Amino acid sequence: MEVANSSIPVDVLYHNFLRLPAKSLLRFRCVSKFWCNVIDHDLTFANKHVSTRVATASDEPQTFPISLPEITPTAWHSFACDGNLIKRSEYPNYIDQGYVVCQVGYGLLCFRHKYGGGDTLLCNPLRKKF
Amino acid sequence: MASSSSSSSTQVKKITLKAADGKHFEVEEPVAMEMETVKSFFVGNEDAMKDMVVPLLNVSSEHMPAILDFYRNHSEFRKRTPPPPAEEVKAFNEAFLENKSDEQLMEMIMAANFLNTKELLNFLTEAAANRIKNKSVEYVRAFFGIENDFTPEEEARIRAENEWAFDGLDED
Repeated sequence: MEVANSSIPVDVLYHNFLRLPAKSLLRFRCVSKFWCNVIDHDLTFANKHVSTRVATASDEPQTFPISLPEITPTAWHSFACDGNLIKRSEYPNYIDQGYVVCQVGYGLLCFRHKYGGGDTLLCNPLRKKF
Repeated sequence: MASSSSSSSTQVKKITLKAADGKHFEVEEPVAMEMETVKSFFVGNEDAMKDMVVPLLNVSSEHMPAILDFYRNHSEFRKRTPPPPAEEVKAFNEAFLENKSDEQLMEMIMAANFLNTKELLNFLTEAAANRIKNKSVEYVRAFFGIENDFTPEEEARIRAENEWAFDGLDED
């Protein structure tokens, strides 16, 4: 069970990935196609990563805690996570001021419309993906 | 260990391990059993122990003394009451990694993976993660011996998706 163009067994690589902060993993998407694929698409890995990072309770902020100093129920502001700042201008257009953050957990922010209508949205603040 | 012999000296059973390059290591049974790969040789076949030499095809003799030292110390830490102070364990672990090159660290990770010992593998992979987490992509490729299979354009595009993740790195 070896990775193409590398002699490291896949399970050894996984052990390593599980111990890296999200910021390093995003940078290491550039290492090779295989790494990019594992980091982007392996959902089992993503879930395991979150639980391992929590379990090891590392001394530096990882996917959380997310600091949300400025979010209020009425307005959207920028928020920062692990050194990554998401600005108001980077939110997708379809998210308007009616949305509020209702949950924070597992490295994701969950938004819902304050009047109950519309879809519930999930955001991965590290990836700026909605 | 509980020998019926009248001799006052305690006889600890030894197991002979053979490293990849053919060198033999005599190891006390409890230490050898820390390695799941070795243990699996003897499960249900305790008689096999007597004269058997266990071949460890993926472990170089260069790393055997350090690896055995890790098992001996950590099993002693686990048994001790009260448990050893965290600083003592930390000091041992730091000394263990001192003067180990990246290449040696990777070889030991492969050995721990082959020997199937969680404690050592977890410890070494954590150490490797700490060495690479603030390093550049190029450093990591060299660390794992990985060839870049992206075109420059592809790499630039993927990098641009998370430009912030390239800030504040340590020097290689």
